[in-house]
Amino acid sequence: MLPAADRGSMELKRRDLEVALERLTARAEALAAGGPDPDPAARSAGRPA
Amino acid sequence: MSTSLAGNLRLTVASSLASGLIRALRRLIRWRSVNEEAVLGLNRSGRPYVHAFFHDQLLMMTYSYLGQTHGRRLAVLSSRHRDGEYVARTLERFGHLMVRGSTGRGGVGGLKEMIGHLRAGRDAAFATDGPRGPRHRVQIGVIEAARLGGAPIVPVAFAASKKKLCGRGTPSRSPCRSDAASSSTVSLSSCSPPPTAGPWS
Repeated sequence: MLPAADRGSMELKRRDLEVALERLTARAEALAAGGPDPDPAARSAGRPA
Repeated sequence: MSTSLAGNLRLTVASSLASGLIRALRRLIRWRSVNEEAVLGLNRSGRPYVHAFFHDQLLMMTYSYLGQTHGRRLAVLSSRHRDGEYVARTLERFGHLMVRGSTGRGGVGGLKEMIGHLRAGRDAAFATDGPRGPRHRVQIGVIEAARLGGAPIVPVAFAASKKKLCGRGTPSRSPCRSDAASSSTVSLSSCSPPPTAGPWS
Protein backbone atom coordinates (compact mmCIF):
# COMPACT_ATOMS: atom_id res chain seq x y z
CA MET A 1 0.00 0.00 0.00
CA LEU A 2 1.39 3.39 -0.99
CA PRO A 3 1.71 6.15 1.64
CA ALA A 4 -1.10 8.72 1.54
CA ALA A 5 1.20 11.42 0.09
CA ASP A 6 2.16 9.17 -2.82
CA ARG A 7 -1.44 8.25 -3.45
CA GLY A 8 -2.35 11.95 -3.47
CA SER A 9 0.46 12.66 -5.90
CA MET A 10 -0.69 9.86 -8.19
CA GLU A 11 -4.23 11.17 -8.12
CA LEU A 12 -2.91 14.59 -9.16
CA LYS A 13 -1.00 13.02 -12.03
CA ARG A 14 -4.10 11.11 -13.03
CA ARG A 15 -6.12 14.33 -13.15
CA ASP A 16 -3.32 16.10 -15.05
CA LEU A 17 -3.43 13.41 -17.70
CA GLU A 18 -7.22 13.53 -17.85
CA VAL A 19 -7.16 17.31 -18.38
CA ALA A 20 -4.33 17.03 -20.94
CA LEU A 21 -6.25 14.40 -22.94
CA GLU A 22 -9.49 16.41 -22.80
CA ARG A 23 -7.67 19.54 -24.02
CA LEU A 24 -5.87 17.65 -26.77
CA THR A 25 -9.13 16.04 -27.88
CA ALA A 26 -10.89 19.43 -28.02
CA ARG A 27 -7.95 20.90 -29.91
CA ALA A 28 -7.81 18.01 -32.37
CA GLU A 29 -11.58 18.31 -32.94
CA ALA A 30 -11.22 22.05 -33.63
CA LEU A 31 -8.33 21.53 -36.04
CA ALA A 32 -10.09 18.66 -37.81
CA ALA A 33 -13.15 20.88 -38.24
CA GLY A 34 -10.93 23.42 -39.99
CA GLY A 35 -11.20 26.00 -37.24
CA PRO A 36 -8.41 28.04 -35.67
CA ASP A 37 -6.06 26.37 -33.26
CA PRO A 38 -7.55 26.86 -29.78
CA ASP A 39 -4.07 26.70 -28.26
CA PRO A 40 -2.96 30.33 -27.75
CA ALA A 41 0.73 29.36 -27.79
CA ALA A 42 0.38 27.68 -31.17
CA ARG A 43 -1.61 30.64 -32.53
CA SER A 44 0.96 33.19 -31.44
CA ALA A 45 3.76 31.09 -32.89
CA GLY A 46 1.85 31.00 -36.18
CA ARG A 47 2.08 27.26 -36.53
CA PRO A 48 0.70 24.15 -34.86
CA ALA A 49 2.65 23.50 -31.66
CA MET B 1 -13.92 -28.24 -30.01
CA SER B 2 -15.96 -27.21 -33.03
CA THR B 3 -17.17 -24.13 -31.12
CA SER B 4 -13.58 -23.22 -30.36
CA LEU B 5 -12.59 -23.73 -33.97
CA ALA B 6 -15.52 -21.67 -35.14
CA GLY B 7 -14.67 -18.98 -32.60
CA ASN B 8 -11.05 -18.89 -33.74
CA LEU B 9 -12.09 -18.72 -37.34
CA ARG B 10 -14.48 -15.88 -36.55
CA LEU B 11 -11.69 -14.01 -34.75
CA THR B 12 -9.26 -14.54 -37.61
CA VAL B 13 -11.73 -13.39 -40.24
CA ALA B 14 -12.94 -10.42 -38.20
CA SER B 15 -9.44 -9.20 -37.33
CA SER B 16 -8.33 -9.60 -40.92
CA LEU B 17 -11.30 -7.58 -42.15
CA ALA B 18 -10.86 -4.95 -39.44
CA SER B 19 -7.15 -4.46 -40.14
CA GLY B 20 -7.87 -4.28 -43.87
CA LEU B 21 -10.57 -1.68 -43.24
CA ILE B 22 -8.28 0.41 -41.05
CA ARG B 23 -5.52 0.28 -43.68
CA ALA B 24 -7.96 1.23 -46.42
CA LEU B 25 -9.35 4.06 -44.31
CA ARG B 26 -5.85 5.36 -43.70
CA ARG B 27 -5.22 5.49 -47.44
CA LEU B 28 -8.46 7.35 -48.04
CA ILE B 29 -7.99 10.11 -45.52
CA ARG B 30 -5.76 13.13 -45.46
CA TRP B 31 -3.69 12.75 -42.34
CA ARG B 32 -2.18 15.59 -40.40
CA SER B 33 0.05 15.10 -37.39
CA VAL B 34 0.51 17.96 -34.97
CA ASN B 35 3.30 18.22 -32.44
CA GLU B 36 4.83 14.90 -33.40
CA GLU B 37 8.23 16.23 -32.34
CA ALA B 38 7.19 15.26 -28.82
CA VAL B 39 7.45 11.58 -29.65
CA LEU B 40 10.08 11.76 -32.37
CA GLY B 41 12.56 13.14 -29.84
CA LEU B 42 11.87 10.23 -27.51
CA ASN B 43 12.12 7.76 -30.39
CA ARG B 44 15.45 9.14 -31.50
CA SER B 45 16.86 9.00 -27.98
CA GLY B 46 15.61 5.43 -27.59
CA ARG B 47 13.71 6.35 -24.45
CA PRO B 48 10.49 4.38 -23.98
CA TYR B 49 7.29 6.26 -23.30
CA VAL B 50 3.63 5.66 -22.53
CA HIS B 51 1.33 6.39 -25.46
CA ALA B 52 -1.89 7.47 -23.73
CA PHE B 53 -5.24 8.11 -25.37
CA PHE B 54 -8.97 7.84 -24.77
CA HIS B 55 -10.79 4.61 -25.58
CA ASP B 56 -13.11 6.17 -28.15
CA GLN B 57 -10.13 7.22 -30.30
CA LEU B 58 -8.74 3.72 -30.64
CA LEU B 59 -9.69 3.13 -34.27
CA MET B 60 -6.86 4.97 -36.00
CA MET B 61 -4.53 5.18 -33.02
CA THR B 62 -2.11 2.65 -34.52
CA TYR B 63 -1.15 5.29 -37.09
CA SER B 64 -0.46 7.90 -34.45
CA TYR B 65 2.34 5.69 -33.16
CA LEU B 66 5.50 6.70 -35.01
CA GLY B 67 8.00 4.48 -33.24
CA GLN B 68 7.93 1.69 -35.82
CA THR B 69 9.77 3.91 -38.32
CA HIS B 70 12.58 4.03 -35.75
CA GLY B 71 12.58 0.27 -35.24
CA ARG B 72 10.67 0.48 -31.97
CA ARG B 73 7.91 -1.82 -30.75
CA LEU B 74 4.68 -0.91 -29.02
CA ALA B 75 3.04 -3.04 -26.35
CA VAL B 76 -0.71 -2.47 -26.15
CA LEU B 77 -2.90 -3.29 -23.18
CA SER B 78 -6.18 -4.85 -24.22
CA SER B 79 -8.97 -6.28 -22.07
CA ARG B 80 -9.41 -10.01 -21.54
CA HIS B 81 -13.02 -9.82 -22.65
CA ARG B 82 -14.10 -11.04 -26.06
CA ASP B 83 -14.08 -7.56 -27.59
CA GLY B 84 -10.52 -7.19 -26.30
CA GLU B 85 -9.62 -10.36 -28.19
CA TYR B 86 -10.87 -8.78 -31.43
CA VAL B 87 -8.85 -5.64 -30.73
CA ALA B 88 -5.76 -7.70 -29.85
CA ARG B 89 -5.94 -9.86 -32.96
CA THR B 90 -6.44 -6.78 -35.12
CA LEU B 91 -3.56 -4.79 -33.63
CA GLU B 92 -1.21 -7.77 -33.84
CA ARG B 93 -1.57 -7.45 -37.58
CA PHE B 94 0.04 -4.01 -37.30
CA GLY B 95 3.06 -5.47 -35.55
CA HIS B 96 2.15 -4.49 -32.00
CA LEU B 97 2.75 -6.67 -28.96
CA MET B 98 -0.48 -7.41 -27.14
CA VAL B 99 -0.82 -7.61 -23.38
CA ARG B 100 -4.11 -8.82 -21.97
CA GLY B 101 -5.71 -7.42 -18.83
CA SER B 102 -7.99 -4.60 -17.71
CA THR B 103 -9.41 -3.03 -14.60
CA GLY B 104 -11.92 -5.85 -14.26
CA ARG B 105 -9.96 -8.95 -15.31
CA GLY B 106 -6.25 -9.70 -15.10
CA GLY B 107 -5.43 -6.08 -14.36
CA VAL B 108 -2.44 -6.66 -12.10
CA GLY B 109 -0.82 -9.23 -14.37
CA GLY B 110 -1.39 -7.05 -17.42
CA LEU B 111 0.03 -4.00 -15.69
CA LYS B 112 3.13 -5.92 -14.58
CA GLU B 113 3.68 -7.09 -18.13
CA MET B 114 3.34 -3.52 -19.45
CA ILE B 115 5.85 -2.27 -16.87
CA GLY B 116 8.19 -5.06 -17.97
CA HIS B 117 7.94 -3.87 -21.57
CA LEU B 118 8.74 -0.27 -20.55
CA ARG B 119 11.73 -1.42 -18.52
CA ALA B 120 12.91 -3.46 -21.49
CA GLY B 121 12.87 -0.32 -23.62
CA ARG B 122 9.62 -0.87 -25.48
CA ASP B 123 6.86 1.73 -25.69
CA ALA B 124 3.49 1.04 -24.06
CA ALA B 125 0.01 2.08 -25.19
CA PHE B 126 -2.93 2.55 -22.85
CA ALA B 127 -6.54 3.40 -23.60
CA THR B 128 -6.61 5.34 -20.37
CA ASP B 129 -10.31 5.28 -19.57
CA GLY B 130 -10.59 1.50 -19.63
CA PRO B 131 -13.09 -0.67 -21.48
CA ARG B 132 -15.92 -0.26 -19.00
CA GLY B 133 -15.71 3.49 -18.61
CA PRO B 134 -16.66 5.94 -17.29
CA ARG B 135 -15.92 7.64 -20.58
CA HIS B 136 -12.88 9.94 -20.50
CA ARG B 137 -12.18 9.16 -16.88
CA VAL B 138 -8.50 8.19 -16.69
CA GLN B 139 -7.82 5.07 -14.63
CA ILE B 140 -4.86 4.98 -12.28
CA GLY B 141 -3.16 2.01 -14.03
CA VAL B 142 -1.50 4.12 -16.69
CA ILE B 143 0.02 6.38 -14.03
CA GLU B 144 1.22 3.37 -12.06
CA ALA B 145 2.81 1.84 -15.15
CA ALA B 146 4.64 5.06 -16.01
CA ARG B 147 5.85 5.47 -12.45
CA LEU B 148 7.15 1.93 -12.07
CA GLY B 149 8.40 1.75 -15.65
CA GLY B 150 10.21 5.10 -15.26
CA ALA B 151 8.71 6.42 -18.49
CA PRO B 152 7.11 9.73 -19.46
CA ILE B 153 3.50 9.77 -20.59
CA VAL B 154 2.65 11.30 -23.96
CA PRO B 155 -1.06 12.10 -24.25
CA VAL B 156 -2.32 11.60 -27.81
CA ALA B 157 -5.65 12.63 -29.31
CA PHE B 158 -7.25 11.93 -32.65
CA ALA B 159 -10.10 13.63 -34.46
CA ALA B 160 -11.70 13.51 -37.89
CA SER B 161 -13.55 16.15 -39.87
CA LYS B 162 -16.26 13.65 -40.76
CA LYS B 163 -17.16 10.89 -38.41
CA LYS B 164 -19.82 8.53 -37.35
CA LEU B 165 -20.47 8.17 -33.66
CA CYS B 166 -21.46 4.71 -32.52
CA GLY B 167 -23.98 4.41 -29.74
CA ARG B 168 -23.58 2.60 -26.48
CA GLY B 169 -23.55 -1.16 -26.65
CA THR B 170 -20.54 -1.21 -28.92
CA PRO B 171 -17.83 -3.61 -27.76
CA SER B 172 -15.91 -0.89 -25.92
CA ARG B 173 -19.07 -0.01 -23.99
CA SER B 174 -18.38 3.62 -24.65
CA PRO B 175 -19.27 5.76 -27.65
CA CYS B 176 -16.70 5.04 -30.32
CA ARG B 177 -15.60 7.38 -33.01
CA SER B 178 -15.00 6.26 -36.52
CA ASP B 179 -14.26 7.98 -39.78
CA ALA B 180 -16.70 7.95 -42.61
CA ALA B 181 -15.06 9.21 -45.77
CA SER B 182 -13.05 11.58 -43.69
CA SER B 183 -11.31 14.26 -45.66
CA SER B 184 -9.06 15.45 -42.90
CA THR B 185 -7.69 13.77 -39.84
CA VAL B 186 -5.69 15.21 -37.03
CA SER B 187 -3.48 13.20 -34.74
CA LEU B 188 -2.21 15.40 -31.98
CA SER B 189 0.33 14.62 -29.34
CA SER B 190 1.79 16.63 -26.55
CA CYS B 191 4.63 16.17 -24.17
CA SER B 192 4.35 19.42 -22.25
CA PRO B 193 4.04 19.30 -19.40
CA PRO B 194 4.96 15.63 -19.13
CA PRO B 195 2.52 14.21 -16.62
CA THR B 196 5.16 11.94 -15.24
CA ALA B 197 8.87 11.35 -15.54
CA GLY B 198 11.51 9.94 -13.31
CA PRO B 199 11.06 9.34 -9.61
CA TRP B 200 7.72 10.00 -8.00
CA SER B 201 7.62 12.68 -5.37
